[in-house]
Amino acid sequence: MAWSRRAPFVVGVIALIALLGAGALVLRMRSANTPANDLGARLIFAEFSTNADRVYIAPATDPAQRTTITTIDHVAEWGINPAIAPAGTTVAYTVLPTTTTNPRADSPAELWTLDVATGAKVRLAGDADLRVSPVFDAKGTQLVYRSSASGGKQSLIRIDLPAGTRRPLYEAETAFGMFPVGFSQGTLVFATLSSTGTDFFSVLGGAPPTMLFHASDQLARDWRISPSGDALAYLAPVISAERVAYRLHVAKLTGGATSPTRLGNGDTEQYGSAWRPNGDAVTVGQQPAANGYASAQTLPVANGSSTTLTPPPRGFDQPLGWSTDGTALAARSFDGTSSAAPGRETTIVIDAGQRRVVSGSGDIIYFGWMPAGATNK
Amino acid sequence: MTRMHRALLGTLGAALLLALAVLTPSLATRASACAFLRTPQAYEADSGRTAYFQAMDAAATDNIFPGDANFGMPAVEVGTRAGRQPGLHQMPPSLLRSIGWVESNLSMAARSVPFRSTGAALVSFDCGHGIMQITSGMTVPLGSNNQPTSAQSNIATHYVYNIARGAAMMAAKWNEAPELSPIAGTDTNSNPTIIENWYFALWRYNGFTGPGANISNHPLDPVFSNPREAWRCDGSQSRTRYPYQELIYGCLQNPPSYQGARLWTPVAASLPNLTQPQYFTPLSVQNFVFPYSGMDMPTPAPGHAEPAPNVPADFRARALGSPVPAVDGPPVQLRLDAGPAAAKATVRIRNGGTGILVWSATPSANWIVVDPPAGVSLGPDVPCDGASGCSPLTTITISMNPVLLPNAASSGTVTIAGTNAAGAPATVTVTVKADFDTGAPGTSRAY
Repeated sequence: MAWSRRAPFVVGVIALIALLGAGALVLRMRSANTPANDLGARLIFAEFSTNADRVYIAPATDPAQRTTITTIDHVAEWGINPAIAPAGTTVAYTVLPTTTTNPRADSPAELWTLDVATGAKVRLAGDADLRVSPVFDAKGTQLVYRSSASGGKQSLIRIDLPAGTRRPLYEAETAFGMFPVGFSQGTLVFATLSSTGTDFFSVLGGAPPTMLFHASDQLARDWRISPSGDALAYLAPVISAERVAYRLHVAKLTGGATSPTRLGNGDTEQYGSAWRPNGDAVTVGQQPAANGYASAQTLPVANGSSTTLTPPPRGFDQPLGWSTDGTALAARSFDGTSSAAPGRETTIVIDAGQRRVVSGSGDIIYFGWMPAGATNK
Repeated sequence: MTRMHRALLGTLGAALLLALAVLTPSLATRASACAFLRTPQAYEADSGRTAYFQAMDAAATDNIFPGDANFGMPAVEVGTRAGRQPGLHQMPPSLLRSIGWVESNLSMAARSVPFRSTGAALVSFDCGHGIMQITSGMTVPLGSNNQPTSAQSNIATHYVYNIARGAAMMAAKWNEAPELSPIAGTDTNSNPTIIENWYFALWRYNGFTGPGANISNHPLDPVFSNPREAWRCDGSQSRTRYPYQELIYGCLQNPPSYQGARLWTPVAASLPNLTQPQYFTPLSVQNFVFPYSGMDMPTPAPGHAEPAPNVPADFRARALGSPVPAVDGPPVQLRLDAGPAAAKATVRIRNGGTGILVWSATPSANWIVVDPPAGVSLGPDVPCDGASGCSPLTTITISMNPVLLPNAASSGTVTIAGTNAAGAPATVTVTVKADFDTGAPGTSRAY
């Protein structure tokens, strides 16, 4: 059979069509395999297991449709401790390496970053304090972690990620502790604990720290800097004759001397603190009333009225963080009655009025949310 | 022998010395073996930990070594800060079970050692030994000539001694109040049979530091999530999030399982209710000031008293037996000029009696190397699962460190003593023949 002069052209067209078809098929299959890419707010979390924690990303609308990012090995029974919040697609965490013999809370931990977009991990340090969460600056170019030496000396160490350099920002001998909190106007904000309570300071490299304000005569907790860095939310105990309740406080970090103010009415316990992405309000959980459940509440910092989220059928929520587009809130949910009897704990996502459980056979470890539009591995 | 032959022989001898020096276990292993030059050998009992639990019941009530400075349970003090006085020699045994699980998964030997068998003892990097991870007094050899003491050998290898020492140490932690630590149970006369009153003693067992320190166990420390679910003790939660004492109380209430069976019946226990000022205020950071008198607090409610267990009168006799050391094997002759096999020999240690014999093997000179340096040999009454490789006998290897040989022909002894048995120790004579001259220790002279 003789080939016509058109034959090569026809074959080429058929090959091109086949190529395009195959490409479309691959794209479709890939899309099906990574549903997290196209479904709005996406949660980054890890599931604890005895010897390794597996990091996932999942859409807020269906946390069960998770995609594995990586697995982080750790010494048995000691899970990873993530940074307070991600920087873009990069998360950070401390971990006791598998080579740790006789692991304890004060065993030297490693500090790593993980780029959720690529799955790439980078080991940054081997002298971190496991339980102290590192913090990124707003641009994600600096990471601060805490390191302790024998004798009670603690250091807040800044790593310049692009340059790969590190240097102590502040060092102190202390019987208690200091914690990196976040960045405000380019300076590190950190908390110190002492026998007089909790104080917040700011420090710029090389200069002595500046005290920002006295937060509490007691141990404050759950401190979170607002997205713009101009305010700080935290919980501090309010003690009455018959009960102690942690309550939400907010303090401005700019404009000179500041004093914290309490948000929300009443004197019941509040749990967690999560800034709305625009920084105008903070979401906290609250202790159940007589009906046995309580919804998390979003409290405006300045003007406006509070709003409530979908409550649990029983128990209460502890907010962890809002998605960057403000459509979904990650929270721990307890089915008990108070912090003294919290009951069982699950991690949930509250999205469009729905409460969705992030299931797992081990602890769920919250990292944060993927930025809108970012793609993952 | 010609000059050339002598030179050749000397060179070969030097090479052999060098090879043996490299192959012989290094002295650097001392750093990781703590009280022992090398890891001793221990007995791992049954998978249900029945033997361990019986020993804990007996140790918690001072029914094994009453009056013994190392292993006896001291009088546990009772009363408030102003009126502290000695009480019963007793503590809740359930706490020992939970501590043993949290510290070692209730294991006396390394994870690779099967149950009802013997093998390398569990020794952690910081010299924690065995079930109770005894560290105090186990970091360096405390006997004469830089050798471990009998007590150190017993703690490292025999579960009864290890558990008894752990119980004694817990009681000592309790008794550090009020001088060094706070008291729990101001409303219950600090009654030590109440499980909750051990809150501060447990905290102290793992490190009594202020909030914010990197080994903090302070329940209000911001590093711990609050609220937090109780510790389930099932491997599904990370220890990173919990103070030590909450692990112990959590395992009490949620017993671990082995092959689907719970290791003990759940024991109710309460933590301090930190929403109530009577517990929150003592734990306030202002009160974390030596000697911590402001931290004294009532019994976390509801308190749970644990009655003393019923310990059979013959427990001590059965658990310890009557071990009798016996050493099999002729005098040991080592040669350096006949290949590696001739440079070492083995000796078998038997238990001619009953129970678990703990022995230690002590060389008379530093060039004699004994491995393991201490261990156990089992009597016929001690379960020994042959199918998993258990042998009631122990075989030790005697070799030499050639660089420490004082002479080409040297001799010494290895003294094998039962550290928990009566009777004279056995002595094994060790002779070595190196067919070349040596100079000062650490050198050799080739012809």
